[in-house]
Amino acid sequence: MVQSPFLKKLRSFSLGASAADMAMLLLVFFMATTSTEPPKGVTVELPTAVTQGAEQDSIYISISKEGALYFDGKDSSIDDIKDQLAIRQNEKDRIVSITADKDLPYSVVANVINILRQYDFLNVVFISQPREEQ
Amino acid sequence: MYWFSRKNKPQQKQSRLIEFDTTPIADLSFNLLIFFIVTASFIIRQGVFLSLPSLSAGTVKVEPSQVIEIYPQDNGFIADGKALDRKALLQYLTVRKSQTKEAVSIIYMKPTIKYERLVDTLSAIRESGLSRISLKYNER
Repeated sequence: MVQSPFLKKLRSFSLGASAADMAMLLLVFFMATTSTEPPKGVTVELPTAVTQGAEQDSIYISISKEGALYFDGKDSSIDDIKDQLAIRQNEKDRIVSITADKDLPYSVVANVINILRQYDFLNVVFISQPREEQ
Repeated sequence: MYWFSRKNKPQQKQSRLIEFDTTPIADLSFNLLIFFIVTASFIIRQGVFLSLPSLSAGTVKVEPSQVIEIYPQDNGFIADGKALDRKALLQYLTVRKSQTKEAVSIIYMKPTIKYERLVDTLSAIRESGLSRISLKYNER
């Protein structure tokens, strides 16, 4: 088949490059926007409340039904939490998410709240499950 | 002479177009994309916000009429000297909010009261539209 001079000048091309670009863009978008699962530490039964969306970028403190403490998912003592908060003094504006078991005596939570106040971490969110309208 | 010149004749450079095959990248990217979509957690954590007072914060003078004292109990609430259930508390708070300008709710929590009562009280206060909240540790 004889090709015209014009057709000879044309290069063959594939859609591979643009598909790769598009896939990469979508990939970056999903990686940037999806929320990562916060560190759990312990499974607790959450209290119920009319809630607001909590920020993902938080410091996580979990308290089990037995009163065991977890800081960012790691089993910690009160002193460990104090140390961590002292180290993170430049992160005072971050929200501290307290995930505590609903049947926990308030004294345990009050202890954590007092420590947070001592170290000037004043923005707290009590993680709860949304209350169903009655 | 001829063979010599023939043998040493510089070979013509072939203009070869080096092409980069992007198909595997596209495949890989789409695979990663599907993996992220499938495994990503779309759970948005929910909670009740509270701004704690700083230890260095000064005291605030409040008129007694502005203060709403709430004592959460394991089976309800005590406010204004009356035992209330959640619905009644919400009603009471809504009325107080409409009557009092810049009302302040003070939650007196006993150490033995369950934590869920605190969250429920905070939730009820937020629902009523009150924004000034104080949390007190009630040892009595």
